[in-house]
Amino acid sequence: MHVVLVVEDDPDIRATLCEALEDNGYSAVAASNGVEALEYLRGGNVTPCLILLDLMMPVMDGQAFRQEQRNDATLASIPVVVVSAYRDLDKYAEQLATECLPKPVRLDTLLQTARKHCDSAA
Amino acid sequence: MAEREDPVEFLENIAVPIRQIAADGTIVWANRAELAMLGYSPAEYIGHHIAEFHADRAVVDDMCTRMAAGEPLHDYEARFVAKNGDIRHVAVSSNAYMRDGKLVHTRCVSRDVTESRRKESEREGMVADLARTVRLNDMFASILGHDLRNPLNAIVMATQMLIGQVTDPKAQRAAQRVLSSSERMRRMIDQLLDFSRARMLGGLPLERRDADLATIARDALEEVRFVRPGWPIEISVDGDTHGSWDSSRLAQVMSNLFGNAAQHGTADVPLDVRIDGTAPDKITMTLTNGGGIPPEILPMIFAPFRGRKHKDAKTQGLGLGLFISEQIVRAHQGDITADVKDDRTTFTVTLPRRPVVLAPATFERTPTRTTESAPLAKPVSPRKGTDDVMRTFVRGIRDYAIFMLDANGYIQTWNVGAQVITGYRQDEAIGRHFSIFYTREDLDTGKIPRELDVAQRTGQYEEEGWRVRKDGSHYWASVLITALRDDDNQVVGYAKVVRDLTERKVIEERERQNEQRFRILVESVKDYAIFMLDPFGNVASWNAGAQRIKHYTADEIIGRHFSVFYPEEDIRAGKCEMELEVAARVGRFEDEGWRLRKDGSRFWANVVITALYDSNGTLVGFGKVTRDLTERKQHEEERLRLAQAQEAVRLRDEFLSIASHELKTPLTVLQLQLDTLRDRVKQVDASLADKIERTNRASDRLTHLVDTLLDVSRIATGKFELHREPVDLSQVAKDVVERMGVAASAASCEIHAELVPHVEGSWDRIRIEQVITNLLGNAMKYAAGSSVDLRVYHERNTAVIEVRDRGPGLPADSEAIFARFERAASMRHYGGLGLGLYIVRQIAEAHGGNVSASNAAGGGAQFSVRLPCKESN
Repeated sequence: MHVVLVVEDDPDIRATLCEALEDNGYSAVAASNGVEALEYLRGGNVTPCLILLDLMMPVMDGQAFRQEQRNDATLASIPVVVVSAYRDLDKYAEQLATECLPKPVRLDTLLQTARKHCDSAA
Repeated sequence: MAEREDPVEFLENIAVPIRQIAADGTIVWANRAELAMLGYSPAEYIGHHIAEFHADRAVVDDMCTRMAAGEPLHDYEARFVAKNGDIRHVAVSSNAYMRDGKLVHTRCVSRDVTESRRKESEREGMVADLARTVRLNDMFASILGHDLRNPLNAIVMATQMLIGQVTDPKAQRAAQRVLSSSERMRRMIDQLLDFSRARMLGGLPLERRDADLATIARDALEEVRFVRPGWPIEISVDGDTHGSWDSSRLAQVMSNLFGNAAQHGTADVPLDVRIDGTAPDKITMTLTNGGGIPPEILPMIFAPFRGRKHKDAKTQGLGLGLFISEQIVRAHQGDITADVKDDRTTFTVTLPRRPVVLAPATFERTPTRTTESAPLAKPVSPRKGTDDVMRTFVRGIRDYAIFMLDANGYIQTWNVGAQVITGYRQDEAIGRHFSIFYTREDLDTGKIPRELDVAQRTGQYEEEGWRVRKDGSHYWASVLITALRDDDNQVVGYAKVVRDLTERKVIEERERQNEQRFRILVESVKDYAIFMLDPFGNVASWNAGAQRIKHYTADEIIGRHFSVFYPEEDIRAGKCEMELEVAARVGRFEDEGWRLRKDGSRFWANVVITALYDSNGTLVGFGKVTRDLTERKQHEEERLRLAQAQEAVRLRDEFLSIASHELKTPLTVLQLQLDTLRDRVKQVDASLADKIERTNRASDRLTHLVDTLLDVSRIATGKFELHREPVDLSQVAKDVVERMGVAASAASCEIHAELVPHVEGSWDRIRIEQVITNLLGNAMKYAAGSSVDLRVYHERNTAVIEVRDRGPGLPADSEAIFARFERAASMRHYGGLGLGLYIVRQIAEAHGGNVSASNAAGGGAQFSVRLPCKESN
C-alpha cells in the first residue's frame, strides 16, 4: 500500500489532495500541521512513501517540520515535496532540500510526483 | 499711548529675527530671536562678520554688494550655519539706513524657512508616492473587479451545466468542490474589493433604505445554525429595531460577526444576541460567545490582516472580515467595540437610526469669565499738562533756576537752582547779561531780542532749547520768560524760570531715534502684520505687513475695532474680548486660527497679542503680531492627505502580497478538481471533456492574473529583487519561442527569430524570459495573423531584444504609449498595452536598461529592450 502523508492546514486543499491521490490508487493520510504530521510518523503507523508539505501553517509550519524530520534518523529518508503558494518557492526548496510544487498544482503534475516517489519505491 | 512702549525692548524681544549689518558686513546688533534662530550668544555673533555665519561664500559676497549699494532685499534666500552646525534656510529682507548719503548700516529682518524647505522636498516625494498609489489602486481594482471575476464566472457557469450532465459520483463530487472553491474565491475577491474601497478609495458607499436590524440578524443567524448545527443561540429583541441603513452591508457585518463567533465560540456557552431598540435615536446590538479573544490580539482585532500578524491566530482567509465590519459600521456613523470578560467575548455595535448631520465645527476656547467683573483696562489718564510752575516753584527750588533780569537783560537776582543748572555762582552771574547762557548760533541769529520782544508783546516767552553752562557744556533747558511791568505798564524787567531737562531730552532723543528706527523697521516688515491696539481693541498703528496680509490701508483701519479681522462665529463666541482679557491678565495671548481679510476671504493666522504697560503699570494697549500661515496650513493638510495616501500604499502592498498568496488556496482546489472532473468525464464523454478543458484555461488565466498581482505588488514595494546569473540571452529567447509555439500557431503568427549566438550577460533569467514572453504575447495579440520578428543581438556592451510586429502600429505619439503603460485605462487591454508592458519596463529598468517603442518602417510596432551586459554600480 502506497501511503502519502498530506500536511496542509486548509481543509479544502487537504481534502482535494487526498481525494485526488485516492482516486488514483494511493492511500492518503491527512495532517493539518507539522505537529500532527510528526505524531502520525512517530505513532507506529505505515511509513509514507511521500510527504506533501505546505509551508504556511499554524502551530508548526512546514520549515519547522522539515527540520524536525531531517534531524530524526528514522524519518529523514522519507521524501518530502513542498506544495506552497510562495512565489520564491525554488529558494525554499533549496534551503529545505526538497522538491517543490507551486500552488495551484495541476493533477498530472501531482500524480507524476507521486508516481516518481511511490511507484519506484514499491 | 502705545507709542510710549519702549521700542528698544520691543525690538529686542519681538519674535522676529532682526539684525543690523554695518557697511563692511559686520553685525552691529541682533535681537534675541535672531540669536535664538542660530543658537549663538550675543558675544559670538555681534561684532562678527556675516561671512562667518553663511554656508555659501558667493551668497555673502552678493549680499554685501547689494547692501553696500543700498539695495533693499526682499526674501533673499540664504543658508545660515547655526552654532550646532545645522544649516538654516533663511529668507532675508532688508533696507539700508543712510545718513548724509552714506550707508550707516543695513536693517535685516530674517525669516527661518528651513522647515518649509524641508516640507517642500518631503512634499515632492510624497506627491510622487501619491501618484503611484492612485495608479496602482486603479490597476488593482481593475484586476480584481474584472479580470479575476470574469474567468471565475466562466468556471462557475460551466461547472453548473456539467453537474446536470455527469452521472459519475466522483465527477459530481469534483464539480461540487469546484463550485464551493469558486464561491470561496468570489468571497475573497469581494472582501478584497471592499478593503480597497474602504482603505484606498476613501470609504464604502452606502445605499440606505428602511431596514430592520432584528430581521437582518435573524437571517444571519440561520447561517450559524447551518455552519454549526446544535450550537444553542439565544436572541432577544427589545423596542423598535428599524432604521435607515444599507441592509446588505449590515447583513455582511452580521455574517462576519456571527461567523467569527461560530468559528471561535466555545460549545459550553450559547451564542447570545441582544438587540436593544428602546432608545429613540440609536440601536445597540451585543453579541456574546464563550472563549475570550487573547489579550495580545484584542487591541488589533479590527486591524486588517490581523491573522497574519499573530502566528498562532491564523484565521481562514484574509483576516479582513472584522476590519470590513468596522468600516461598514463607521460608514453608518456607528461604533463597534470588542471586549473580553470572564473568558467571554462581547462585540457591541451601536448604530444611529438615521444619518447624523454633523454640526459645523465650533470654536474651542478656554472657558472665560464674564467680562463685567473684570473690566478690560482703565482708560489711559490724559498726559499731564504743562507743569504748574508756581506750584513746583514752591516745592523744588533746587530744580529750577529762578532769577530776574532788568529791562535790558542783565541778571538782577540768582538762586540755588540757577547755580546748580548753569554752574555760575551768584557773584559770577549778577550784573552779567543773560546772553552768557546762549549758544553761539542763537546769539548770531538774534534769538535774544526775539525772545524779549515776544515776552513784551505777549507777556511771556516759553521754549525748550539748548543752553550753555559755565563750563561750556550744553544743557536742554525749559525756559519761561515773563515780562514784569510797572503800574504804567512799562516793562521794567523779566522773571526767568529755567529747568534743566537734559536728561529727559537725552532719553527723548534716544526714544525718538529708536522710535523712528522702530517705525521704519516695523513699517517695512512685509511678512508680519505688526500693529498696536488701544486698550479697547481699536487699531492704533499699522504696518506694511498688516496691509499686505489683511489688505486694509492704514487710513482705512486705524481707529476701527480689531474684531473686523475675525469671522463672525468667533465674534459671537466672544473670542476678541477673550483674547484681550487673557493678554491683559497673563501678559500674552497666542492663537492659530482663521482670520478675515478686507475682502472677507479667510487666512490661517498665527497671532500673538502682547499687553503693553506704561511705567506705572497701567495698560496702555496691545501689540499684535500676525502671520499668515495659510500656505503652511495648506501644506500641513496636504501632508496629512499624503500621509494617509502613504499608509494606503503600505497597506495596499501588504494586502496585494497576502491577497495573491491567499487567492491561490481556492485556486489550488479549483484546478485539481477541474482536472479530476475532466479525467472522469473523458472516459464517457469526449465533448464534455473538451468543455472542461476550456474551463481549465479560464483557471490558468486566473493563476496568471494572481501572479501578475504579486508582480505588481513587488514592483510597488521595491521588493522586485533580481537574481542575477550568467545568462545567454539567445538561448533564453530560443526557449521562449519554443514554449510559445502553441500560442503562436493559435494566433496564426509565425515567429521569425534572428538570434545572434552568445549574447551573454548577468541577468535574472526568469525575468528576462518574462520580458520576451510579454513582448511576443503583445505582438501576437495586436498583430494576429501576421509574422512577428524577434531579434537578439549585441550593441557594444548592451544586449538588445527587438520585437517587431505587422499590426496596426503605435499611435502617432509613441511617447504617449509609454505613459499609457502605467495608466489604469490600459488595464482594460490587459495583456495588451497594460500590465504586460508595464512589467517589461520595470524589469528592464531594474536591470539598468530601458525599453522603447516605435513604428517600424513598413508598418507595425517595434519594441526594443536594451540591457547592459554587466551590472553597473
